[in-house]
This record gives sequence, structure tokens and C-alpha cells, in this order.
Amino acid sequence: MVVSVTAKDKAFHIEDFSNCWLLLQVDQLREFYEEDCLDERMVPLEAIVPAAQNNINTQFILLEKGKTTWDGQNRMCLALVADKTAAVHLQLWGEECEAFEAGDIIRMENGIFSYNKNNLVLRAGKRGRIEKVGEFTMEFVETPNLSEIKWVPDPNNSNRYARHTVISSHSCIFPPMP
Amino acid sequence: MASKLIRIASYEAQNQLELSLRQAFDILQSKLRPPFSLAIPSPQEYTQLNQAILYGVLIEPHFAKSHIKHLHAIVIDGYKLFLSLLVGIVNELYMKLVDSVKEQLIWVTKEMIDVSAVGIDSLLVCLLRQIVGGDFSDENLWLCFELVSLCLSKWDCLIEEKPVVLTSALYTFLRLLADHCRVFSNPKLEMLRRLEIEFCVKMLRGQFHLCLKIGRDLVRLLQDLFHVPEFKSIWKDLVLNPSEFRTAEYSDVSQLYCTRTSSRYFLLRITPEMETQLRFLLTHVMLGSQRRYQIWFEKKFLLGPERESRIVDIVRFICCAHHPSNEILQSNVIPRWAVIGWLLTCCKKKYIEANGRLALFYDWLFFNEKVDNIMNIEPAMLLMVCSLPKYINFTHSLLEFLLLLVDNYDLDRKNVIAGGVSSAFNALVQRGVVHSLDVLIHCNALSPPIRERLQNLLLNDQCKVPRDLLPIDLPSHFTPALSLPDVPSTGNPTTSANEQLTCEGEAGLSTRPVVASVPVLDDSVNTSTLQVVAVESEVDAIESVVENIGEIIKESYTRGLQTLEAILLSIVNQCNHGKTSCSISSQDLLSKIAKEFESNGYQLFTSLGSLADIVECDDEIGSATAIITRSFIFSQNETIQEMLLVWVRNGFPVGARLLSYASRVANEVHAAGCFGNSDAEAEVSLSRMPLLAYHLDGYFTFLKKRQGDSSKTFVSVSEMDEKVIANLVKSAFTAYKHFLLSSRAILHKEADTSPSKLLFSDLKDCSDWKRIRTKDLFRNIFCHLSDLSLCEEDIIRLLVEKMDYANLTEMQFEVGMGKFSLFGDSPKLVFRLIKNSLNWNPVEQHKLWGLIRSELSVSKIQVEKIIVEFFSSGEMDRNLSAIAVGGFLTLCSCRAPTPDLVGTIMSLPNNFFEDFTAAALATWAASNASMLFDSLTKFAEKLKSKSTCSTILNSTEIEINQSAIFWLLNYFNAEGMNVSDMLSNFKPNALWKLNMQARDEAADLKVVQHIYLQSLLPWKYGQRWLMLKSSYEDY
Repeated sequence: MVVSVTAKDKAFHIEDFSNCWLLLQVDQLREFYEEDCLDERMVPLEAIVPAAQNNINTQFILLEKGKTTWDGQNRMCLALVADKTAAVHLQLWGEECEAFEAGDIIRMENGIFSYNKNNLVLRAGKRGRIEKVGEFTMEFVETPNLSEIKWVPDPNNSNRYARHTVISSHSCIFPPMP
Repeated sequence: MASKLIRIASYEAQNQLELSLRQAFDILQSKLRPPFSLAIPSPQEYTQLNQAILYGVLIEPHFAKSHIKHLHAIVIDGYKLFLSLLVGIVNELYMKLVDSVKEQLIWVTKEMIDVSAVGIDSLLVCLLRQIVGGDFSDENLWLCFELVSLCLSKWDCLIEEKPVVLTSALYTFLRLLADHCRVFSNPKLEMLRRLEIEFCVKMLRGQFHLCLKIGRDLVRLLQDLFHVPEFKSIWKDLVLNPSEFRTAEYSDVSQLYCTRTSSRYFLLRITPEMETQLRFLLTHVMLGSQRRYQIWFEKKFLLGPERESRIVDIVRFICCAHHPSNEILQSNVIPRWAVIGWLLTCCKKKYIEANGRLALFYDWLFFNEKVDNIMNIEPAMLLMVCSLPKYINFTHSLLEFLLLLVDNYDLDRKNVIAGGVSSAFNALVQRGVVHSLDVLIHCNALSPPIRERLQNLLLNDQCKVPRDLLPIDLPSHFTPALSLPDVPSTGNPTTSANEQLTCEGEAGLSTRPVVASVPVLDDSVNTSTLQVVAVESEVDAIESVVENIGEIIKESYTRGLQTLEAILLSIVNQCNHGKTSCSISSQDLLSKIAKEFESNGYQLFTSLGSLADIVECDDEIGSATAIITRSFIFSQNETIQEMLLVWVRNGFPVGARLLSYASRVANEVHAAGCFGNSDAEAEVSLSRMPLLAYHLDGYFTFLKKRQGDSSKTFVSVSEMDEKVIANLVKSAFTAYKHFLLSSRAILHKEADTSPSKLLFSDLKDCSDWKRIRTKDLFRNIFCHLSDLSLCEEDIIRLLVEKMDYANLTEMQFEVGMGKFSLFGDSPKLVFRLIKNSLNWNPVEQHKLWGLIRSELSVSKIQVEKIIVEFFSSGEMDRNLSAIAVGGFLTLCSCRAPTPDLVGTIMSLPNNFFEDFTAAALATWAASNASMLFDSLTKFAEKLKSKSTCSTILNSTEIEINQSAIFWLLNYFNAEGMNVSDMLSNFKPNALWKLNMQARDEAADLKVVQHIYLQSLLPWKYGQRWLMLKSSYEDY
């Protein structure tokens, strides 16, 4: 079987159909293709630092949701999310609070990691978005938790933040499961 | 644009498959209506056309016939591509499909059956997989209904072309009927149930030769339907009237028992989504991190009425259809038994739990090594064994259930079942899943009747073994639980059971880590290879045996190991018989042996860190590595040592393995000592100290063989006293040290490597290995290798780095009680350690000081020497040394204020942590005032009387610490004593920087006062001075 994948026209070119598992393989290729080309700017969680910019593209799994609260007109809800490298608190807003459940794999585009009412949280913000891309099949760690780290301006680059001290190794809001 | 194919929730990403179909449809929409183009499409266009037609068929029911005609017109591949797209939709999107699309899907499936499309069987199987067990929702029952109707309406076509679809459907509907016949309150079910029964009966009564292909799980499913009249009669015929089925091949139900069910049947009852998640859990999730995944899985698939019944299907799936790779087995990924254990505890209904256990043990009942896979029975065994330490009741109930099955599963064929179960047990031991059944049989926590029944089961089976396969002198097969001093005189009792099995091929070895496939040796078995070695020309014999070892290993792994041991013993013997240098080249020997074991998949002297922490992977017992280690320890033979050094050169952690072995022997002895001190409690099973048992076993073989008299019964068990055991431990460490010294001499000639450094690097390796308890390891080092470890900075730093606080505290207790020493009694060494520790991180320093305080507050070491060295060692950073100074203060407060100590403290220099002396004095004044002042008096007297060098400070000049003076003055003031008394005591010494000569002139207190005024007043003491001054003026 010959399958060629061209990134430009996003099409799958299949020349020989002798394999009944063809589709599965196409799917795998597609996943590979997506990972490879769709967003080269995807970063692991451990690489994000607090900044007042909506430029974080990443993917993580939702581990636990807190209670939904009202902030004026809006619902909001804090959640613990993580990938293989780190965990962080995610702030869900409005409909997002109901749309996601523990175990969902979420892709974030143009998210922001910053202080919100004294909490250091990751969120989509007005300019970014998050969407569910899968369930369950993602590895994660619960430490370090980026929201439980004290950040200070980077001595080498005052525009950036750098890690200072670990306030807590795991989330204080969502303690690890026994 | 919203999808017409699937329901997409808000915030859900687009589905790529759906998108590709929709895009193809949008592009080609204009070409999908007649008149159709007659042009022959390019391969790319053909794909797109297939996608577009499929999308059209599914979302435009009213044009479906037109689309299908179009498809018939263009198809050139027997519908293969079209079918593969359909399979993709079913597997990936079925749950999300819009209802009308689902109807179209069934319709198009029937169309495809009519044209005998290539791959229609896969599509039907995928659809069957979408029926969810224990789900009574309308959508699910609808799919059941559609598929069972389809099977009946397309019966002739399917039976002719795709019978495997019908056997799959039979398996599916029999399983679903168990659910559907349990719930009668749902009227919608009645019609469905009738159809399902009709289909199943039609299959069983009419096509039994096909049904036979399902194998033993057909019986399991039928059992659950025994209460349904139609199946009751089938069941009766199955057992009593086999001829009723008019199938020549079938004569007895045991034929079904003997046929292993193919794993694809188990997949039928697991939806693709469940499969994905379970496989992810079993290949990616580390043991210990599974909790959240389990909760998610449970919430999604298991919570809800009747859904539990899926657990039975999942257990079958895990046992029979998910077989992990060696790599996974050796990793820390959650093992299958743990997942099954969790699933069984999720069962709330008793009958589900029973069915789950039956599913777990089902292949045991009919186990036959020739047709069955060890991997299908492995999870149950490991679940029982691994639950022993914490969940003994669970093990108990599983074992009880298994024995119940043996007695009751099929009363007429009890011997078949008993034979199956006992050969399952034997195969598990033989393949090294567990190294012995002692863990169960000798487990005191299991009830005696259970253990007895298990023994009987295994014994009965033993009797059936052909005589010629039995070892020469069969030892009594099972001995009672052993207390430590009792050594089984016939070696490990269970291994003779393995022996007769080793002639069987080891085909399954490649699926298991071979290190695990090593049963414990039984040295009572005089194998032919052992006798070969006993011939006169031993060198030749050894070489010829080594030549053949590859063949022997291939034939039987156990014999391979026995041969290895025999070779090692011969080498030892040869060297003992006066030949100082053995004529055998260790290099050749080694490379041959290592190569042969490697080619059989076993790597000698691997890092223990790479082996999973489960019983089946115990490379320290019974493995080739263990045999070599053991032989070396007993003999400390040069040739074997050379072999070891070759491995070291090749980069294997030989030292660490030796150390780990010695340490584990010591641990097991230590543990036994804790339990078995009183005879009443001496019932310590050797199964809880497997390495010690193994080691003792080897010890006796060694003694026996060395004496050259294999028939003589060796040391009687009662002679095994504590002394012998203690010596065994000692010799293990001596052997290790011996190895270290020679490896240093040979391998590290140029480098200035001390044995301590080598010990450190081995320790480092060991402490990274998960199964090793760091605390025990370090305790053993300090107990048995104290000359290499006492006060060694690297080692102690590794200790504080690797040990958690709880273990450190326990170790503090132990050193506090004087069980062993970490620091020894040389003040110089301790000082050096402390000095070097100033560069450690604060946590490490604090941990170190905890240990120092515990040991030094009870040891005889002259703490004052360390203190004086430290405080007078020149310029030190206050911050860096702060923790150490704090440590010294606490240490001082733990020690009594002896004259020497107080003397030292009184004369500490002033330029470094000035108040240290005062603080120390203050603590003693509170805790031990009388001794403090005795010591102070002595100190003063000493000063008075000394005319030559001071014993306290090796100089002619004595400095008395300022803060000491201030504190004393304050103290006496506060106590209301007359300062003059004190000053008269200290009259000669209150002189600031008074040397011996000056002291004679200073008899007059006025002079004292004067000198004070001159020298004692740095500005920061101003305030105190005012106070002092007033007391002087009073005077």
C-alpha cells in the first residue's frame, strides 16, 4: 500500500487498496500529520511562563474540576489540568464550565497564563479558545504545578518571568489522589 | 457549517474523518445526481467519489438508492474502499451519529451484503461491537434488533459466504441474552429477546459444527442461560446427548472445554472506545498513577444499572486478548492483575463477582500447555500472590473460589478440571511467573483447609506423572511451614514438580521476560550433567559441558542452570585440590556461558533497576546471575572472581548486584531475627525470606559438593544456629569486599580509586533500584562494611539524599541505641565530614545533623575535639556554617557538661558566632547546673594551677570566651550571688588575652578591672558594659 501525505493541500493520496486495515492506518497517518504540521508552536506545559500575552498553544488533560462559582454575570470554575511535563490550574469561563469534564483531552489555542485575582491560572481568555480533542488517552504528571510556583522577573531578561520557589509541589486546591 | 452526520458538542473539535467525507461531498455534490459521468476517475478522484457517495447515502435517505446505483456503476475494487470507510465510521463515530444516519448505515450494510462486498465481515463485526452490554437504552436495543434481524434475514447468504459473522453474532447474542433475560420489566425487550433466542437456537441446533469453533467460552455463555427453557434443553443435549447435534466431530462437552476461544470473540464484547482506554491504561499508566484513570473509566463504562456485567467481558478481554510485551512487563506500567483486581472490587452484585472470577480462572480449568497460553492464566496467579501482603482475604476468596470450581464445575468431569488447574499451577511455576507455590501453600495467613486442599490437588496430579519423568529421589512434595533455623534438607520442595515438566518445549519463553522463567533449583536432583562433571579430567569435562551448555539451556532452562552450578562447583573443587592457578581460562568460560544465556534471552548481571518490582521478576533468586553470585560468596574463588571482573569490564553492575544480594540476605536474616526471637513465634516461613532460603540451600549444596560426598546427608537442620546464619551474612559481605579490593587492583590501577569510592558507586546503583529498601541497604553497609563506610562523605551524603525523613528518624533511633555507627570515633574524620558538609544543601545538612546528634550524644567520641577544630579552623562564612553551628549547640546540649567539654567551650574564640558559648552554658545551667559548675570550677582550678601548657588548648595562651564571662556575670547577678565570689574564682583567668607570664602580675583585682576596661569593650557590648561596670563599681 502506498499512502502519500502532502501537507500543502491537506489531502491523502491512496494508490493501492489491498489492505483492509487501510483506514486505521490512514487515521494514524492523519494523527501524525496533524501533530506534525497543524501547530508547530505547540508547547508542553512545563515551558509556559506567566506573561500578559495570549500566545500559548498547548494540549492537556483535565484531571479535576472545582465548583462553579459566579463572578458577577459570569460563571467560572477552576480546574486542574496537566500533561506529561507539568500541571497547572485552568480557569474555565461561562459555558466552558459545563462543556468539559474530567478525562477530557483539551487543545488550547492562544491561551494566556497570568495572574487573575491573585491566582496564577491558565485560561483561553477572550482571544484564545479551548476545544475537546479526545478523552482519557494522555499521560500526565501532577507535579510540578505551575500555579503553585512563585515567579519573579528573570534577572537575565526583565521582560520574562522565571521560577523562583516552589510554593507547593502539588496543587493545594486539588490534592493528588491517594 | 454544522455536520449532518454526527452530533458535535459545543467546544468539541471537528472530527477529521467526518470533515474529509463532508468536503468530498461538497466538492462533488453536483456530480452525484444522474446523469452520472462516464469518465474513468483517477485513483484520487475515485477515493473522493467513494467518500462523497458514502456521505450522500448517509445524510440523504431520499437519494440513497440513486447514490448506491452510482456506486455500483463506478466500483472497481469490489467495494473495498467503500467498506473500509464504513468501518471507519462505525469504529470512530458510531456513538455520535445522528439517528437517521444510523438507519441509513444499517440499510447500506444490507446492500453491501447483497453484493458480497469485500470486507463485509469486518463491517458486521464492527457493528456487533457497537452493541453495548448491560445497556437498555432505546438506541442500543434498536441496534440489537436491527442486527439480529439482519442476521436472520440474510442468513443464507451469510452462512454460505461469511460463517464467521454468524459465530460472532452467536457469541454476541448469547452474551446479550444473559442481560436481556434477566430484566423482564421492559416490554420492548420481549420481541427482541424472542428474535435473539430464535437466532441462537437456530445456530446451535442447525449449525453446531460452526458453533464448536467458538470453543470453551461457548459453554460459559450457555451456562448463564440455563434458566431459559430453550437453552436448558440445549444444555442437556450438549452434556447428555451429543448425537442430538448431528455433528460427527462432537462426542462430548469436554471437546469444547479443550478448545481455547479465540481472542477476537472477547473483543466483540468490548467497544472500540473501551478497548482504546483499557489498552492505554495497560501500556502507558504507571503503577501508582492509575487512580484518576480508573475513576474516569468507571464513570464512563461501569456506573449505572446492569452495566457491571461488562466487567466479566473486560476480565476475559484482559486475560485473553491483551498480552503485554516484555518491555511493558519489565516496566513500571500497571500490570494486568492489578487492573483485574480493581475491576473485581467494582462488582457490587454477587453473581457478577462470581462471573468475573469465573472469567478470570476460566482457562485454568482446562489448561493444557500444548494449546493454552500461559499469559491467559498469569493474571489470576499474580493477583493471588500479589494480594497476599495487603489483601489476604482477597487472595483467600479467590483461591477458595478456584478450589470450589475444581470440585463443582463439572461433577462428571472432575478429573479433567483438576488436571487443568494443577497443570496451570505447574506451568506458572515452570515459566517462572511465581518461583514457587510455597507462597500460597506455606502462607500461614491462609486458612489451613484451603492450603490442604491445594496441596491435595497438586499431589493428586503428581501421582499421574509417568514414572520415567520423575526425578530420581522424589522428595516429600510439600513440607510444612518452616521456621528459620529449619533448612529443608532436600532443597526447595516444589521444584521436583517442575523438573518433570522441563522436557516440554519452552515455546512461550519469548513472550515472557526470561529472567522470570527461572524456577528455584533443586539440588537433590542428580542430573546427568552433574555426573558428567564428576569424571576424572575435570578441566576437559568442564570445557565439554560449557560447550554443550547452549544445547542444554535450549532443551530445558532449569537443566541449564543446574549445569551452570555444576560447572562452578567443579571450578571451585579443582582450585581447592591444590591447583593454585586453574588451567581454565575464565575469559573463554565466561564468554561462552554469557553468550549461551544471552542467546536464550537472559542477560547476566543486569541492573536490577530495569526489572519490575514483581515476584515474577526476582532475578536475585534462582537465576544464572544468582547462581554465580552464590557460588562466589561461598568459595571466593579466584577463577569465578576473574569471570566477575570481565563482566565489570563490560560495564555490568556486578558490584552492585553482589552488594544487593549480600544486603538482601542480611535483611532477611534481620527480619527473621525480629520475628523469631521467641520460640513460640518462631513459625517464620522461609517463603517470606526467599533469598535466605535460596542462599542456605546453596550453602548446603556447596558444603556437600566440596566434601565430595554427594550421598552423605549434610549438616542436620538443628545445627543451623544463629551463629551459622550470622557467619553466612558475614561471608557474603566479606566476599563482596574481596571483590571490591581485587577489582580495584585490576581495573582501577591508574586511577586513585579507594575501595570506599567503589563501594559508593555500587551503593549509588543499588539505591536507584526500586525494590531495594535504602535504609536496610545503608544499615547493612555500616554494620558489615564499616571500615569502608564510616564517616565517608560520599556515602553519608548519598544516605541523606536517598532516605526519606521517616527512615532517617528510624535510623537515628538505631544509631542512638548503638546498633551501629555511622561516624566512628575519630574526631578528625568527623570534623572533616562536618567541614565538607558545609557545602551541602541545607536539607542535607539538617538531615546529617540529625544523625550526628543521635550518634554523638551517646558515643564515646571526644566531641570537644571536633568543636575546637571547627571553631578555630580559620575564616568561615557565617551563613554557610550556620547549620553546623546550630548542630553543635544541640549536640552540646545533648552531652553532659564534662570538664573537658566545658573547658573547650569556655575557651572558644570570640570572632565566630560569639554567643555560642553563652548559649551552651545557658542550656547546661538549665539542664545540669551542678555538673556545669563542677566543671567550671575544675576549669578555673586548672587555669590557676597550670604553669605550663594547658591540656585544653595546646598553647601557652588561653583565651576565655567573652560571652562566657558576660553570661556568667549575668547569671550570678540574676541568682543574687556576689560577683566577687565568681571573680575570685576566675581571678587569674578573667584577664583578657592573659598569657602565663602576665598572669602572675595580675593578682590584684584592680588590675583585673583595668584589663577589662582596656580590652573587653568592643562597641556592641556597650550596654552590657554599663551594667557590668555598675557591678564592678559596687565592688
